[in-house]
Amino acid sequence: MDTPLTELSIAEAGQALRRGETSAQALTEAALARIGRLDPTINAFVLLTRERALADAAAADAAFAAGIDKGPMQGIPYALKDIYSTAGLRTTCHSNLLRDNVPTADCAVQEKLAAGGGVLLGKLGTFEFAIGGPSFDLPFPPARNPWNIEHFTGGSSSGSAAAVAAGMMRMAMGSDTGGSIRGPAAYCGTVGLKPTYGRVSRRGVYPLAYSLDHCGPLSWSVEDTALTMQVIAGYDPLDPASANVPVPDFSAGIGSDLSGLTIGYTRKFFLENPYLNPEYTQALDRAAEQMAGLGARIEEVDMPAFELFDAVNRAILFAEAYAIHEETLKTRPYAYGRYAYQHLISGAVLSAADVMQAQRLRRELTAKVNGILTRYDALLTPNALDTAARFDSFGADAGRWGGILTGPFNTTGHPALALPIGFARNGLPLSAQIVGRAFDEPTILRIGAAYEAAAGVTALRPDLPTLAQAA
Amino acid sequence: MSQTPVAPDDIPARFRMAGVVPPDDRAAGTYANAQRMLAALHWLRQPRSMADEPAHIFTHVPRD
Repeated sequence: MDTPLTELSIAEAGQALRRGETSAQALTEAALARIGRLDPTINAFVLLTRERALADAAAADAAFAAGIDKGPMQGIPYALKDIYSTAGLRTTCHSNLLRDNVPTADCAVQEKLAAGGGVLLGKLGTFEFAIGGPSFDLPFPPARNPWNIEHFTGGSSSGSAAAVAAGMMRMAMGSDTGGSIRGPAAYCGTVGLKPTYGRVSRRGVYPLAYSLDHCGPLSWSVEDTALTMQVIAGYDPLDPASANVPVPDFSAGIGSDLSGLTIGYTRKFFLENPYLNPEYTQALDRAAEQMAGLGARIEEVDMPAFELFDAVNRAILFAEAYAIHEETLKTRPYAYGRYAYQHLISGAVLSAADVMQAQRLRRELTAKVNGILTRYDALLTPNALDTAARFDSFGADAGRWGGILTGPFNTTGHPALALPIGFARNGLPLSAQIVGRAFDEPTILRIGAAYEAAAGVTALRPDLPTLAQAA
Repeated sequence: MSQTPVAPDDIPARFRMAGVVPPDDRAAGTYANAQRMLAALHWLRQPRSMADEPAHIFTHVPRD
């Protein structure tokens, strides 16, 4: 096999496993070796479960040998953001508060990945409690961006994005409350999917804000994302927000062109944003042209003002997050790192009227976006508005909330795909969002896959041999 | 659209009302974050008619 084992897509690895050309053991050992070379520089992992991974791989190989096929993740190495509970494995939320926390049960996503024969490599770094970072006052250092280690990864699925971008694995699970899958995916040049609210169970995943939290994958390719979704999606009566709706074939549209689709390009939504890097506009305009070349009809579309969504997202997020952490924030403020404390405590100043106004407006904005999506199959928007910031650009209050356009679709719950669309002159990745109708992930995955195949951006990876030498 | 500007010196009072006293070395960052959030909240107050006020339910699941 010419392709290095760590660069095989989930589908390619699955074919090789089923043809007997490789083994889960070999895939896992290759991943562990790469992690060993790169992670001392990248800091993606907070817990590497080497023995567990090799045991999972042996079980997957034994299943193949017995003719048992549990689906696309069988024998495939992956890792989890460290807010995903794992039975018997430390789950810290990247916080001193939980540094010795060992859950007794797996979260729903881990249950599904394990039942599907996946190989758990370990737990990945995050911003503290999925909000406070990048921080140097926590039990683990922040993950570094494989495209330039002086830059942060975005947050909060920071280790997930760094690990995938560095080729340590094809897929890592993240979570997204205001953009915590799509932001790191944008800054690290990976694909990332925030599914529809209710599509993937959050049971056993430490909440940041109950009504905005989503679980989803970060991966090297759209196809990897679709195959992962096939394993992790589905109704869970133990997650109160889980939706009892049919699970589609997420790969159904992959390989098709974009004929017959109308995509609304939300150009006015971001053009006046003060954080916008003009290189983003150029890259998005180019992406829109390429999608038109693939057969889509592209029309500019107006959205409600970003500031409306942003205000709703902030009020609800901080109110819900404060409710979760209130007692500990008041009694043990130094149990949190500086950034997490300063963010989480903000919810204390909201009034009941503020929160209810946000809920009212949330319903109205969701209805408006649903209305727009009756005319369009999907929307094209930016993801971030600039490339990843340098670590040394963060001040004492870590107030960098402005340069990202992901929160609107946490507010409305629509599925949104982070899709690499090129690179800025500084060599860092640029990213678009493809937003779809509720529970219509297959269409945005179809669009993403068609663009990805035509543009070839996702195939470009960081200069990892140099990184490995540095390590 | 109505606006509710927040005076900077209102923020420590809001925290005190909530029973929160940030540690001295984290107060400046805490107040800056809160100020940034509160400054956005005027966007939540939109003029509405009675027709704009259906029961408040957030769901994507079709209901009978």
